[in-house]
Amino acid sequence: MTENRPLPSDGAPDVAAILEQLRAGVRAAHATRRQIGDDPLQRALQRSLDDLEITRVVSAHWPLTGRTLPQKAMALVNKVVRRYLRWYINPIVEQQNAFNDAATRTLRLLADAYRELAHQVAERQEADAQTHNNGIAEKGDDHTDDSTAAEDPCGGGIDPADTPTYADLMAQVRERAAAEPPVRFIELELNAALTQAQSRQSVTAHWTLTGRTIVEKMIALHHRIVRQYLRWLINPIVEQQNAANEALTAALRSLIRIDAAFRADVAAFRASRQRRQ
Amino acid sequence: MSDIITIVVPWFGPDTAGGAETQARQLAAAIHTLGVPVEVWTTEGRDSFSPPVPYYRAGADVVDNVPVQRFPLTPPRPAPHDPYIPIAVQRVGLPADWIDVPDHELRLLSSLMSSDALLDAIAAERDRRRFIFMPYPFPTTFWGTLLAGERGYLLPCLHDEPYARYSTYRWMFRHTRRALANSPAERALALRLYDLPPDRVVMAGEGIDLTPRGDGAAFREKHRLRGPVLRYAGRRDASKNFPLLIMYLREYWARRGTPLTLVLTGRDPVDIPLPLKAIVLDLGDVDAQERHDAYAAADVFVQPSTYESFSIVLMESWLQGAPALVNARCDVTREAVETSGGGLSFDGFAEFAVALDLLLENRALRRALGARGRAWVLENCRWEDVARRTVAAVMELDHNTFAAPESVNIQTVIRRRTFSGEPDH
Repeated sequence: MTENRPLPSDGAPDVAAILEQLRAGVRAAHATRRQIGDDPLQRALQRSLDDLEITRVVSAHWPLTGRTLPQKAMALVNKVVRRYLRWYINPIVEQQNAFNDAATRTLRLLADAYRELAHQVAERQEADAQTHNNGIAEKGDDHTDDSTAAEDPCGGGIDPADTPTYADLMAQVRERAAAEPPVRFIELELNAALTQAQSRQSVTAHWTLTGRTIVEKMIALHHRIVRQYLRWLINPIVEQQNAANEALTAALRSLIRIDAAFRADVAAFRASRQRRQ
Repeated sequence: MSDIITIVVPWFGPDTAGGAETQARQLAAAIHTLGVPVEVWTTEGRDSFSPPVPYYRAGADVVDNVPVQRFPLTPPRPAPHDPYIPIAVQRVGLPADWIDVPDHELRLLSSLMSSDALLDAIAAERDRRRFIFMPYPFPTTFWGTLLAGERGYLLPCLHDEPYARYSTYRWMFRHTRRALANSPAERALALRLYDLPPDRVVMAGEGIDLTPRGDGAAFREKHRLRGPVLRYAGRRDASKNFPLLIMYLREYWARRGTPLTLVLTGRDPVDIPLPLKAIVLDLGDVDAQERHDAYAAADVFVQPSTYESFSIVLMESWLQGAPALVNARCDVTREAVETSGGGLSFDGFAEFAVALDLLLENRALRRALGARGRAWVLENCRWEDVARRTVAAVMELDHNTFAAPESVNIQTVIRRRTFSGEPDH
């Protein structure tokens, strides 16, 4: 998600700025692909993500066939049983698929986040190296500064009695904001994806079974009895899967926190460089 | 005997935190000061930051001279669970025009803390009281308004959030006698979301304590703060966009290198990455004076939340003269900033950064905006005025008559209405 969309104060879209943003996006995508192509670790990660994309959808409907007559008869029986139990099995599988989808999306975003962070670090290192090579004398760290360098304690010529209105000030804000370089806060997407995964991590085999008409109520009662009987088989499977889901979500949460800590590190580094310049 | 205004709120007490809970407490005290009979009905729970277990003792209590009745709490039902309809409602029966509510909406209600005993009491006392239910999402409010019928009023503290669009809440707003809005934007939201006639949502407003005086210099000295001070107060979670604030602030710091400090207060835990501790000072749960000192020390108060019906913390910061920077996507706070002229708004990082630049580079501008905000709060957030509007709306009195305190004795007006046999509505 790119935060900054250029919109001049008259409300009309700034076509040049939008085109520049699109070009920047294309350049970034090219750079990412080049980076993946060059780096064996990134290639391996991309392969795993592709595999994950292929395998994340669980299906309860694989082909049931047989060659011999007894095998074909058995397959037919299995098909009937599967069809009979689909009211029970399919919702469980769908819940697991919903979790897999959210977890996969979080992992893909994490991979994006790592690449983006690595890009930030590389950019800083490059800028540092350039500064060093150019022999630019650095100023001392300005930790003792009491206020912003740009602050005008006299008020920058604004008479408090004649302070601009909200609308005037916001027009200034929008005009200057158009020049601010764009930024992607990937953590917002990551946190949203993690929230989705967390909300889907608990698969349940015990949803409400009810009906409105007499027939539906009879069917619901029948299903409840069958579910009660089969819980020795299904519940342990669901519980094991839930434990795995929970562990995966916890791992994703930890990785996101580590990512946030690294980003804070990079920000601190960038801030210190900014102060010295 | 005149009707007793009874405020129903899930949590209430001296140790209770939260916007709606603070509002309930100050509103009850303000109504009591007017001489209007008022009580508070609540549960034994502490607040939404605490586990749903008894904290206060069940039974009668008095807080700020207001009688309080605490009922045993009914803990939330963890998922998976069947949709639950409280016994009191089952006893009375669902109304004839009850809609076919989706299960997940009923499940949301039963996943929140409630009190079956409180709901029983509402059913038993519905002819002797006028109930104000707050805030809107809780079972005490939803089932309470259903049980109170024509004697139920909503003080919803409505936010523009996904579950405000649930059919349960739409049903509740459309079947409640009247709703009281904290701000014009909240009123507009309720009218828009639920297709209500304009007279069904009244702008009663909200007040704050206008007496505190913060000492910004002492606060800066105590905490050895140098450079620009930003201030955030409130819940430190995603519902209030707190992570967004931290991300924006981190990027701003990285780009500008400005050695600023964001001062936080609040009881809920917060996870700040270690390198950001250089620019974030979390004081945790502080006393009221330190909270106000922190507002007074602030160069800018930042309110990133989009889920507000009033924003007490914004008004408190204005009272101490801090200019505000609010999220433009929140109609309530943006409207307050537009009307008062007490700050700026941002939509996205670029506007956040530039607005902060504009404010931090010009002290006179900050002071002028802060002064505008303070003047607006002093004019619009007087509890006495809010209490009068609230009583007028709930007792269905002529607001113009009721709003003139010197010429009318409130008790007399209420008694006259009650004894004249005038229908309630």
